[in-house]
Amino acid sequence: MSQNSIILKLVSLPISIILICLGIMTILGGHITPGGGFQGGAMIASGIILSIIVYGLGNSPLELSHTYIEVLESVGALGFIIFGLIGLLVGGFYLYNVGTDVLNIVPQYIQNIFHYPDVTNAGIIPYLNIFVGLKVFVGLTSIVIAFAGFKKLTEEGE
Amino acid sequence: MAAIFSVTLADAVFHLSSMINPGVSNIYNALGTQIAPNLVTVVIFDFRAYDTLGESIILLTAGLVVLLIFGRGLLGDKQ
Repeated sequence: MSQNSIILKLVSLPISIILICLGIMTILGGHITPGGGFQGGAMIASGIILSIIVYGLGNSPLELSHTYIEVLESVGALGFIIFGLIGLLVGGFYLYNVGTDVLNIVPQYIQNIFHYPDVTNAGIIPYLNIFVGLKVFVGLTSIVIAFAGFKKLTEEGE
Repeated sequence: MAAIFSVTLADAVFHLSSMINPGVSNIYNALGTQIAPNLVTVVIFDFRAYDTLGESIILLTAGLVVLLIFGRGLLGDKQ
C-alpha cells in the first residue's frame, strides 16, 4: 500500500501534523467558531490516514496501536454517556446541559464543576465536543487501518 | 413559471409569510446565543444531543461491520 516517491514521503508527514493540529484547534474551538467535534475528528483522522497511505501500515511514523484505539474509542463513548447520566441524575433529563442550566434546577456548586472555564456560557458543550472528536477520529482511522491490514493479510496468505 | 407566479400572487393577496408559525425556532434563536456563540453547535450538542449520540453509534457500527464483513476468515481463530 505504500508509495515509493521520495517527494511524497518528505511532504506528507508535515502535512499530516498540520492537519492534526488544525483538527485539535477545530475541536477545542467548537462552541465559538464553525466546526465542532465531528469535523475536527474527521480532520485528525484524515491526517493519520494520509500518513498511513503514503508510508504503509507497518512503518508509518503516526501509528496507532491496538490498545490506543481501544482506549480512545471507549473513553469517547463512555464519556458521552456518563455526561448524559450526570444530566439525568442532577437535572432530571438525559444529556441535560448541567453547566449552563437553562431551567435553573441545578445547585450552584454542581453548576460550577461542569461550567467550562471560558467567557461563554457553554456548560458541557466543549467536553461533549472533545468526546465526539475522539470517537470520530478513532472510528474513521480504525476503519482505514483495518482495510490496510486486511490487504496485507490477504497478500501474505496468497 | 406559472407556479412561481401563482405563489407570488397568493403571497401578495393572502400574506402567507405572516400566516406561517415559526414554532420552536423562536425559542432556539433566543436561547442559543446566550449559551455559546455558535448556534449550530448549541443545537447539535445541547438541544439535540440524542442525535449526536446516535451519530457516534453509527460510526461505531460502521467500524464493527467493516471488521465483520472484510475480516471474515482473516481475523480470530483459524479453523
